[in-house]
Amino acid sequence: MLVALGIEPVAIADAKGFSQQFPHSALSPGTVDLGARWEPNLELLKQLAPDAVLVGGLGIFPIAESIAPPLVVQLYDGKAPPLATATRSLLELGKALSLEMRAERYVAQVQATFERVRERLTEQRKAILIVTMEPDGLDVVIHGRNGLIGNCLERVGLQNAWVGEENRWGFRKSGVEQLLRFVDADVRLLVIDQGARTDRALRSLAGNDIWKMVMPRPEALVRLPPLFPFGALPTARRFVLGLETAMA
Amino acid sequence: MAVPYFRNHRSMANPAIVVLGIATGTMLLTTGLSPVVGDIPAESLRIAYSVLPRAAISLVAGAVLALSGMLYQQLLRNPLAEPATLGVTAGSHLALVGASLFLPVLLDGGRLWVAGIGGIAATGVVALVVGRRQLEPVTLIVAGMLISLFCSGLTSALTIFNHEYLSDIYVWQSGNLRQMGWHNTAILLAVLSGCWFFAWLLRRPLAAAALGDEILSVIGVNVFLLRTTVLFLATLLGVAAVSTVGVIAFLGFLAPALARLCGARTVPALLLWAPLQGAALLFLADAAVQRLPLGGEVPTGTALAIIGAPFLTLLLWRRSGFAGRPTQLAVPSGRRAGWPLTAGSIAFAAITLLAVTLIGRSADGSYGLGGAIDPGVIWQMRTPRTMAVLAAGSVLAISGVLLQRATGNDMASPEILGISSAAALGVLCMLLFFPELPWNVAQYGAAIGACLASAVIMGMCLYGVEPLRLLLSGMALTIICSGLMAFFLAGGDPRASVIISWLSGSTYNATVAGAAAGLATSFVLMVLALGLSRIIGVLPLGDAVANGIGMPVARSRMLVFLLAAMGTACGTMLIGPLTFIGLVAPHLARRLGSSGPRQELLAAAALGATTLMLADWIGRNIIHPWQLPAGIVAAIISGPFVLLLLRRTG
Repeated sequence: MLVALGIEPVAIADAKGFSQQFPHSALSPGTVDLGARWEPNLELLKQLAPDAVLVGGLGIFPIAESIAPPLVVQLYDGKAPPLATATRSLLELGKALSLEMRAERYVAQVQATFERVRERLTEQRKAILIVTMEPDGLDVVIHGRNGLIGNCLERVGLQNAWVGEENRWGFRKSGVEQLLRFVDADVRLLVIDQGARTDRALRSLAGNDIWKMVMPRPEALVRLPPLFPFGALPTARRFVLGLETAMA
Repeated sequence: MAVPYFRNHRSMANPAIVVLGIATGTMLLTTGLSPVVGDIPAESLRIAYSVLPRAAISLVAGAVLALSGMLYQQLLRNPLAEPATLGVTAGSHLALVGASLFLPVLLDGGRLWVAGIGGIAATGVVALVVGRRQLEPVTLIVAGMLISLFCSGLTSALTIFNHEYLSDIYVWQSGNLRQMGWHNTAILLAVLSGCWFFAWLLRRPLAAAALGDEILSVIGVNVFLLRTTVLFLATLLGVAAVSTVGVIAFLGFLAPALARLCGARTVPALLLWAPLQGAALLFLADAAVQRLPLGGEVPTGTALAIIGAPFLTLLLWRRSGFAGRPTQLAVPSGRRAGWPLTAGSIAFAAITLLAVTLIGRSADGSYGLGGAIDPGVIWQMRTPRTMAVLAAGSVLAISGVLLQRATGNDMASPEILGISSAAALGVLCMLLFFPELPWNVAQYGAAIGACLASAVIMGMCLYGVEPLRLLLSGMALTIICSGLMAFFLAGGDPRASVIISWLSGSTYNATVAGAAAGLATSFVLMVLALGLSRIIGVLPLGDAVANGIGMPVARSRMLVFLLAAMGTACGTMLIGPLTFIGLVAPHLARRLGSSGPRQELLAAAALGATTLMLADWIGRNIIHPWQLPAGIVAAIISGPFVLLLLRRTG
């Protein structure tokens, strides 16, 4: 989110992981790596003496407060829809950093993207099922209505084929054979590409009878660009753009 | 001349329960299928390639695990033994995680080979280490535990930094019977038939083995060869099950125990009924898990652990005269180092304390003394962590010494009381029921859990419960805890990394207040423990000796247990549930030559504190700015070290 506001952070926890999960938000090469996301190296942070510290919702570190005033961003509490919360958080962050104009501009850009994609996809009649495949080829993660992905689908006017139960983070982990339920219905299956993991899953399923029924023509499998389902507005924008390309 | 083993059944309980289990399971499964199956091709495909293979494999895997458990129990002469005891599960887990992260191409054909080789390798190492002693049971168990700890340590280290990529392995860890074909079922059936056949051929020597080694040699059986063969069969079965259906922690000892309870006492009877009971149990459990409305899909392994644990405790509770003689503490002979060792280890601890507090790494990665960097860093951040780890190390080591001497069993460790598991369960409950709480508040769940467990132990002590039964409850709690934990992690919760880190013994959230309290407790505990030194000097020599000198055995043991519980609770609240330093430090002290309870207490406390301090320092600095939890580093370093000592002094 900081990158969306045009700020380059001095340091970030898990710089490499961040670049992998959010390739659309580029970090400058000088950004210092603080270590694990759940245990950022506080000694190092203190030595760097930042002006402010942005803390995610996983836990508030009291010691961090002694280093610099913390800005807390709570995105995924399992109650409010993540997309709305992400939008609101970005605006609040903008206000806290005295960058309201930039924040509002970014939000407006994202809304415009949503509208544009919505218009392009009005022709879509089929329900959509978005899954992530586990590398062993036995399980899939089906994205439901309450996560960031589900929110985005709704926002661009597509119908989510999954109406079953889901956990508080907005997905459901289930077996591949559950996909057989959607074989006869008018449902389009989209797979989020996780690179080697998805490849492994598809390789294990290559000769499988159940998979042959779910996906009779393997080359017709549509892959969406990789994304981290616990992201914020920039991730949502990237997902929606990926949808547009995939469905066109 | 046929041995009339069928006449040994005093009741029809065994066949009755098996039939009941299978019937109920079948009923549960068939209610889930729609009546117009034939018309819907997708549904009939699902039944042919998913539902039926799953039902079949639950039967076969249940039998395999039960047979494996039964063989382990005969081999190790311990009714609590099962595939995990000698490292099969830990080895497979490590192999799977390693392959997933570094050589995923190995997993293309399925998990079987990777998990299988991992499990066999782990048991192989155990056998190698103990080989010189003819695979003697107690040493096998200790070595198995250490190897498991080592593998788990490595696995945790890898998992912490990559847990998002290992989601399929969590599912495996909690026992997932999901099938996409008949491949695994066929393999498992082949392994079952082969191994069962060989076990049947060995039924007479197996039966004689329970009578002791001397009898075996007298009747002309090669003890080493028999043990090796049985170990091989049991491991093969265990590995096959673990590779195909994942970790189903309980079945290995639940099924044979159930068979025994229903009247199967002899080895041939057990060979027949234990696998059948196992098959019925797993079949029923899996059917129940699929049909019951439980929100998410609870993995079968977890469900079995939750239901089976209390059931097993009840089962074993009722048996009198349980588990034979306590084994003697293995005390190596030779010149004792005595007081010089004790003094030396305390001095070493003090030096280590200074070193780990002052030396650290700065932003550019260079090592330097604390003075060069902001002094605030040392006081605010490093000292609480170092002090916490010192307190935890000494407190857990003291508890370990107390427990090992009170039970006369050198594989006793603070974990067996179940307090660390109760603490972990406490944290898990906080996370599940109050998801909005920040992490440092949720950690109080550990304190609540630990205090509750200590209170229960205190109650049981006052009520006069035998120590062995106490330990059984602790073990049951540990199994429930690991089942639930695996389930939680498999669910993809984004808070997973925090809890894994805590589980592995991280000092990240140590505060000055907490560390000070810990130090105070460790001082008090040491004073109290030293006061009990006469009791813990006499208890390991056996009840007869203790009674002979007029010591009230039961009451003394309870007192020692209570003190150990206090220590464990304190240690868990400081660094999380990784309490195995309580297992390792006393061993270290004894092998390095401390003699007598007082020396052992002091030396173990100092050694425990030093080990953890070093581990914490290494963890904080070796992959700067990332940090490895102290518990993991301690497991990785000290496990092999103690194994080496085990092998050398024998």
